[in-house]
Amino acid sequence: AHGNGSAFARARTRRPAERRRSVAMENTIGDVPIQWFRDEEHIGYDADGRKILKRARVDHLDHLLQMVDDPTYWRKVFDEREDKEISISREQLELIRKLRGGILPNNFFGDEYQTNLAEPNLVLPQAREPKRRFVPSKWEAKAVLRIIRSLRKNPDARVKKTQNEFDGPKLLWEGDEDPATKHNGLAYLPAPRAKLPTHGDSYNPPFEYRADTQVDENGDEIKTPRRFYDALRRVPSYAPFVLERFQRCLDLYLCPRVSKARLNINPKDMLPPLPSPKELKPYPNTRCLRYLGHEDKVVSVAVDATGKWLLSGSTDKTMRMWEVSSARCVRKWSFQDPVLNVAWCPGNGGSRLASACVGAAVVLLDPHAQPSADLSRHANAAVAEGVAENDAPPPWDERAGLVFVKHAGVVSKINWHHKGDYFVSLVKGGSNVMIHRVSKRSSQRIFRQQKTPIRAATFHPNRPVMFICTAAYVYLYDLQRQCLVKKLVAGGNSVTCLAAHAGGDNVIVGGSDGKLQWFDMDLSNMPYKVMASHANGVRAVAFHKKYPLFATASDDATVHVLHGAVSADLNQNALIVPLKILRAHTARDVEGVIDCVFHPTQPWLFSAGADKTIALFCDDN
Amino acid sequence: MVKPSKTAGKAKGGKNVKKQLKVKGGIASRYTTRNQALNRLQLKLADFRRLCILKGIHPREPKKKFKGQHKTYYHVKDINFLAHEPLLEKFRDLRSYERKIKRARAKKAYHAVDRLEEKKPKYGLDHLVKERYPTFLDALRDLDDPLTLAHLFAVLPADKRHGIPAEVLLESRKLSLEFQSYVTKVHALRKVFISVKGIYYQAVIHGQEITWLTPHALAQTLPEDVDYRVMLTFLDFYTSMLGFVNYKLYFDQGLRYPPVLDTRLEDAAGGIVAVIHDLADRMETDKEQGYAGGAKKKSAQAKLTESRLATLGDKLAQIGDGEVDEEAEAEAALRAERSDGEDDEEVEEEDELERAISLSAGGDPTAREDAKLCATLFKGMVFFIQRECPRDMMVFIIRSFGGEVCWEGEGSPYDESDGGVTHHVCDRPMEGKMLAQREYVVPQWVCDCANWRILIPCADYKPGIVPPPHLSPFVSKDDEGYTPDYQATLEKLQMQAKAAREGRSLADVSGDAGARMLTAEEEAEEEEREYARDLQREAKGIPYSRALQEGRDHTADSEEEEDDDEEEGSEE
Repeated sequence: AHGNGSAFARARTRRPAERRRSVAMENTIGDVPIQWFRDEEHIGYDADGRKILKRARVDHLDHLLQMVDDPTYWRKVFDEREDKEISISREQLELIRKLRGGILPNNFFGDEYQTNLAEPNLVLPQAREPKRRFVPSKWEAKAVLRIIRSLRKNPDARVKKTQNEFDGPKLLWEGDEDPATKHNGLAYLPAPRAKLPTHGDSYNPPFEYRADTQVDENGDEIKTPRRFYDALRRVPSYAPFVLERFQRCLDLYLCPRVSKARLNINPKDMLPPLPSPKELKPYPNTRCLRYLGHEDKVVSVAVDATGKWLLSGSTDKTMRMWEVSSARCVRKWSFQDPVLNVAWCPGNGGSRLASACVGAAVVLLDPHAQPSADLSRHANAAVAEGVAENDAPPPWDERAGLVFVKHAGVVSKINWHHKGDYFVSLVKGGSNVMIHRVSKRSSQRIFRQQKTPIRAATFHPNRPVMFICTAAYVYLYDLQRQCLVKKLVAGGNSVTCLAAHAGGDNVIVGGSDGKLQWFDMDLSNMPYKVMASHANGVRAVAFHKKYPLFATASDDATVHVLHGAVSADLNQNALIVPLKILRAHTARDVEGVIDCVFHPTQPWLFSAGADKTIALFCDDN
Repeated sequence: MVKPSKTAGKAKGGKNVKKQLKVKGGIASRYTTRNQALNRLQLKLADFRRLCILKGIHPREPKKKFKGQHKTYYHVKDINFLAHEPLLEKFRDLRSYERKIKRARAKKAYHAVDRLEEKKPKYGLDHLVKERYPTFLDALRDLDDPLTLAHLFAVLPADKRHGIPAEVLLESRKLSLEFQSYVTKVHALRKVFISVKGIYYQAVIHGQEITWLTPHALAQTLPEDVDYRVMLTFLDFYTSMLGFVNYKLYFDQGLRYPPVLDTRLEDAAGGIVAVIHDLADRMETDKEQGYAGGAKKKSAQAKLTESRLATLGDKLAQIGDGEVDEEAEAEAALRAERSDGEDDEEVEEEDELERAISLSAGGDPTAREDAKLCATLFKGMVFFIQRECPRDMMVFIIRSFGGEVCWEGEGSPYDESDGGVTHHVCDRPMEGKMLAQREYVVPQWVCDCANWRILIPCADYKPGIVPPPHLSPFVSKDDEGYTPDYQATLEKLQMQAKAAREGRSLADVSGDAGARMLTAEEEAEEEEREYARDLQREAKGIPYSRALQEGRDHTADSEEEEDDDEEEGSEE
């Protein structure tokens, strides 16, 4: 770099001298062909008009010798116009190289520019000043005149500055305003505030918030990943910021505002005040006794009117009588078929006559009578002859102190009338319901044709009305007038059992879907309360005759005891309070508790389970 | 524009007809559609829109949409309210004035155009602010949107194509800085949240929670599908409202308004610091006297020139003396500041703190405690902010929570290498460059500490590692129904800090937490002790079963028995 610089400096210093010389020698023939001077002695004229004479020409041999001898020959060029040999300097060579290479020869131009500046050779144009420079302006005069006129018209127009009524902030609120100061216009509805950000809006959200969950119109959740960054410096500018502010502005002035009075109620406050279960004592809450002895599941239990004796029927084909207080099995009857139902006849003090459904017959017997030796034979015979013709009334047959009422099919359930003369029997499958009269030993079918299977049938506790229950409805038939009185609609199409309150106006039904429905017939033919508290189907429901209690037995091996007080006041609805879940049985083959019945005088409950046991629940003070 | 002849004719025609036509108190008489309103007010839609925005009039929802579902309905009273607005007349005047300018320009009378432009009437919105917000509390309650918009426009570029003039942007920048400085001064900031959208702040002033959003300190793009005229109209109202609110806030604190920006700091992009600097010296003179009209202005002007002269002097001195002198000077000043009447300063500081607390919290004891905690959270700590961190944000937060700040560049009170710096806020990995005597944290640490009012251990927030999740302070536990793990950790820390403040042992707060606090080392120690005791017994020849029994009794008061054992041992 240093060498270049020095060469450059040398070129700068030498150039003016060269120029002067070349100017003195300059051929002034102009742009004419040099051939015109080929035969002349001179090659042209200098600036003063004198001839420039040609030099002696070198012959070819000398030329060749020069070429060989002179090492700088290659740098020499003959200039025909000037008639001289020019030796090209290193700088010029460099310049040529640059020009040929298409490189900017900056040294060259820089020098030229500077030399031009150094020798200014400018001549200013010699024009004359125009006249208008000396004459007063007509337009200025007009403008002045206009201003004078305007000033005359409105003297303080120029003096007065802008009519600026706004001059900076001031104290707008003195601090002693009445807080009740009203707006001039309508009531002010403040715009809803913008939503505050949640954890998910963070630049570095917790892991579980890294997907945005939104619910679409089908109710499905759509998860979209959110943007997040591990350092603040990586967070980019939020592109829709301006757009979102704009949309907020639009909302503020375009959206109609409505003030909505929102009720802020705690859902728990809306529940009715229920009495605490402690206030509703007594009710069965602890298991006191277990009656063991059956070899298969117990499907039915019944207590006599005195409350001393308990009958139980089981699929081990026996019926047993127990002493309630001691849990001792007093008597046992063996049959050839499972005993599906047992019941005491309420007449004659309520403990003289009992009934059992054995196969296709209903057996009536006196449990306290002396046992006959050939009981089992009679029983077997009864069952063997049990099949009767379809339409004929079932024959009544008495053998060895037992009365057999034969049916067309397996009898699943019977219910006694409260006076003890009539009972209603239900053939398994629900194809038929029959009413029997004990005093006259007569039987009668209720329906000539019955298509929908009947699940339960019972007498009204104090009126000549019968409840017939199908899977979806409960029908009330007037037995005297022989017509339909009422039809209750039970939801779910799965009713299995039914019990009527002693007052006769309230009915509970249990369903195989685990629901319990309470019908208040004074209110409506729709259920007053539906309780879905059981996990499995309800097998039996029972009302207590004296206490305001009812219970449901279910296949989930629990018995629920509830308080159900019916008021005599028509304005007051029944009060239903869940009291206790009793767990004393274990489930077997999807069957838990199959039957339950209340003690006639005490707040006790008997339950028959699929685990071959009967349990007695008492109230524990 | 009622034609008198027509009404005269009708009056003549019969009163009964008119009476019959009059609708009595139905929905149709209470609401009008927007086009009806335009006809009634004789306004163009753009002017109507502007007027509605300024007056705060919005459509309403009638019970029955008598003119169709897709119409916009206004209440008749609202429209009447607009019709009596003096601004309406002003707009009409302005329009005719614009026409004058247009005409002059068409005639190429440029002198006249200049003259007219100069005399163009301006309108003030103070009466509208007062009308919409009769009390100061009303204004504070509605401050969220104004602050957010002002903070946005403070960082937007001026753009001729979208019609965003530079003056408006400067004004909004000024107002937002003033508000932030006030919040810093009275330590009113309560919550900070860095979201993807921007940074949310929440301050409590006069018991009102004011939440605003500022964009990240990066270039903003101007989308094309936005009507900037609407936003500018909103901004017009908001700036004048914010001006009045700021004035009132400053006035109540006995501060000068507008504050004088420190030009040197402002040139060095000091942002909020430039304003805070001014707030440091309070006005000593009587408030009433100081704020009386022209006198105030004059004094403010005088102060301005004074401060400028002062900074000029500083600058000259800098140029003359070089850096060494400046440093020495700063140090000397610092020393003087620290030593000079420390007691007085402390008392004054306490006083100021007390005032700030009572301002934001009122008499509520829990709020007062919180306010005090906020104001003194970073007390005695000096933060150095490295250049990749957003300085304005950090300064705002740290100063609001009682800390001191310095940074790289002009106007910083301390140098980077100053020994007094306790925390170094940086966002890049700092391997090998870390000093032992200070903590290195990422900006999120400052925000999390501020939100939870505790000094979280800095180990998790070291630069270069992924920090713990940044949780939103705006989520209450009941809303979400879910607590992230880190929140539970922070809550535990909070409980410990509270116990430490109140001078209680941790076990008092909750026995469970105390039990859990037994670390692994302590457990090991306990085990070791047990083992030693067993060994001792074995040496004495006590069978293990008896030792076990004794051990059971032992748990009742272990210390005493242990002493006894030792004594027994020594006796033997």
